[in-house]
Amino acid sequence: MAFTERQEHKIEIIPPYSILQCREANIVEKDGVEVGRTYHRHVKVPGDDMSGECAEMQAVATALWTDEVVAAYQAMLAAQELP
Amino acid sequence: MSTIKVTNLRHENATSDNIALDSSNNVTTANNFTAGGTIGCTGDLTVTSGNLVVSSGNGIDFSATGDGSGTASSELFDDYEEGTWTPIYNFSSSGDAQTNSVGSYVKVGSKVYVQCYIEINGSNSLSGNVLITGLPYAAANVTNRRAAFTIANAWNFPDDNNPMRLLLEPNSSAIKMMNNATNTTEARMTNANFTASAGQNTMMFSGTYTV
Repeated sequence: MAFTERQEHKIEIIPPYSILQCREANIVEKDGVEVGRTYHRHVKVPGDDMSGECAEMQAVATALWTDEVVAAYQAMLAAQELP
Repeated sequence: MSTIKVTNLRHENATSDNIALDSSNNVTTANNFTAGGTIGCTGDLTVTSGNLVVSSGNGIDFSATGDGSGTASSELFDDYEEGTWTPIYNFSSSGDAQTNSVGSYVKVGSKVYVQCYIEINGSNSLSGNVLITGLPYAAANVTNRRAAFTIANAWNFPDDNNPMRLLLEPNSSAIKMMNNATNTTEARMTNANFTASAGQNTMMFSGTYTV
């Protein structure tokens, strides 16, 4: 009887600012058969520091977060500040 | 048209029957059953073991039911998920603070319910406006659809911040902390409202927002 643990990452891209949502599934298997699973989520928005993220998240951010996308997201945040 | 009377059907290469028919008009399949079209059901649908697995983008359609007086945008129940998230005190100049926290969430359809316990857990210097980051989903891209959170308790803050408020803007996954708002300012809380040592700025809150 052997228990093993592995992670799966599900990445969601939220328009229109290409916000990245990452769901990490922590999966426990007994002799290769899944016996348990938990989810942990976090979000990264354009311009965020991506160090420490999985390679897939970093690659998606690099591909999508152009200077224009980051600037547009920052402008949106500033525009919706309450008076 | 004639009737073929059988009690079992078996594939020519199978070692046991695929389908069993009984005198009460029940049909039992020995293994998987695949339908290429709609399955009609005039009685209850009971799953005796296993789950009801819905493919991505599909769900349970309630469009046959009566509607409320508002404008309905969807009657498809297409998502449920529960898990954890990591709340972090983040300061606009000094970045993430050393934080001790516990966060959980449940997503039902387009609503996300979160619970959070959070406190400062270190002595790194703090500077700037404060946010609580780490939410499990970004808020929806809908102008002026802001979410508020209910603070169950807050203690070990260096000054009286009542009424302290938590606000989530559209397209954001970071909660703004505000206090003593006036007519002319957003009244963001800053490092001046925090103490940079372990066990300080402890808070418990919960709330719901739309994604």
